[in-house]
Amino acid sequence: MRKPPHVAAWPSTAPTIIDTPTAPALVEFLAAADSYVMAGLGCYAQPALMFDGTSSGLATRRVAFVVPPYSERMRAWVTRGGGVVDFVQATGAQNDTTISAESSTAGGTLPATAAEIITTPPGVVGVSAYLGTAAPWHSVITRTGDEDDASPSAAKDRLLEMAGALTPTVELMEIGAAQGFGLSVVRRSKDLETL
Amino acid sequence: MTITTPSAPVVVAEADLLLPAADADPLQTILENANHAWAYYAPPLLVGVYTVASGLTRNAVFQVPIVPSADDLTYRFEHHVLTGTGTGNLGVTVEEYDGGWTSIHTTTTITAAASSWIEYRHTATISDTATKLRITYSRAGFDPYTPHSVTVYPEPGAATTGTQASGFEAFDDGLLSATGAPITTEHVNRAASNMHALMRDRRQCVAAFIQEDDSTPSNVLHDVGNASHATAADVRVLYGRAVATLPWQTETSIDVYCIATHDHTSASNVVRFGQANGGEVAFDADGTVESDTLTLYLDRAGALDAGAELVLQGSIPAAGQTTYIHAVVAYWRPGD
Repeated sequence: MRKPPHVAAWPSTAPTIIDTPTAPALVEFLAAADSYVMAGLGCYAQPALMFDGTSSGLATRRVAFVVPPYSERMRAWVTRGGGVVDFVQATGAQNDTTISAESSTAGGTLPATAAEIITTPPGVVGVSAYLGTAAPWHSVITRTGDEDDASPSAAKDRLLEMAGALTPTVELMEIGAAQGFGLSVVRRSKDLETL
Repeated sequence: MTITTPSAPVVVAEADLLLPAADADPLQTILENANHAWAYYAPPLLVGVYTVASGLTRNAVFQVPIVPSADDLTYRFEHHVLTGTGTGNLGVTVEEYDGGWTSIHTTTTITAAASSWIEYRHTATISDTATKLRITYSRAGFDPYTPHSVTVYPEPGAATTGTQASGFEAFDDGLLSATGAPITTEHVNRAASNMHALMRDRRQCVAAFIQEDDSTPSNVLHDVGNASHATAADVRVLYGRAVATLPWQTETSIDVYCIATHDHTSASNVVRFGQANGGEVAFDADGTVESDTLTLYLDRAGALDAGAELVLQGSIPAAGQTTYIHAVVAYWRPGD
């Protein structure tokens, strides 16, 4: 019998599973307590990061994310911006956004191979510029791809692989050519008993 | 009588919940999983990528509003810095503001090779009454470097006895481990109430935009003024746009905090933070920590990847003036 991670509605006050001192010994009480704890352990928001990833020397940014337990796959929301004098004169799309991800280890190295780098199209044209600093500017948010390929032979737009563990992991990411970034878990383990 | 804090939660099999004997388990396991949450439930207090000039040859100072745990928790800090030329040691100082600045971690001895990524990890305890962090980076000999990011998340260690300020009360197996011990109502409720206490206490960073804040306006990489084409009053200039994910939410609220300054006397409502096509809150640029609450109506409502596109804008009250956005951060907690 599989045990998937539970989902709970989070109240603003503490839940009371048993509210009478002479309650019968119902198994539902234990299940409710177990469900609340295990669901809570997986409850993490993912922040909207806003930053300059375009100006000189800032085209590649590194940051550590805390990935919640049970997470197997994630996708990223990538913000790109561009400034163009005239859209007609724009010379085509910018470089792809790149994402390298690896569980954090002391030393700050990213052991990912080139093939493991995720590339996602920019969705904008013109000279890359930091949001409000170029006029007329425009920006778009794109979501990284949903192809599930855990052994890519070349860099491509695909799902980010996560550890899928019972405890949170810290994932170091190197983000190239983005001016905003956010993650979302899109697939969790189907069976906690196998983790 | 032992307080056990497992390094990983012990999964209670579905089969074990069908007809459990009136014995310590599986209740004891569930309670100890809540003890595990004390030590390992680690939603980040802060994840921030600095908007800062690259190749600095001076100190870099960032101030960020925070809402720390009520439990005086120890947090793990992870800083990422890219060095330029030279081998001068990297320095990192973290201070908390609690009516005055107090150093909670400082070092000037981080070995830093030329043109290398430095990952510096340390722990520090943040007082429950702290309202800001001030993080200062430096490099010996003023060798060039670029501060990239900081991530801060709880790492308090094993659960300890007593009721914490958050309401968490570690489970001690003294009663349940005794032969023939009663299984009390309080034990069943405590597992959920402990998890709930942690979720309500440990606020989760849902947005961050951070620029330098060292009383030298020219150090702010992107000011709101002529350079950013804010050439007239109330022209809104986009400073941040990104998506936050709040799993399974449909409608919730977040608390938004802002530090901004202005080159004239303080300016009203010149920093705006909101949801794209939704509500927004406005802040003055007066050098203080300002805050407001924003209600979010989420895209993909109720789903694992429910989220909201968040937008940060700056403006000036009159042509020729300049607004400096130093930090905007937003926090969420389940149940809001």
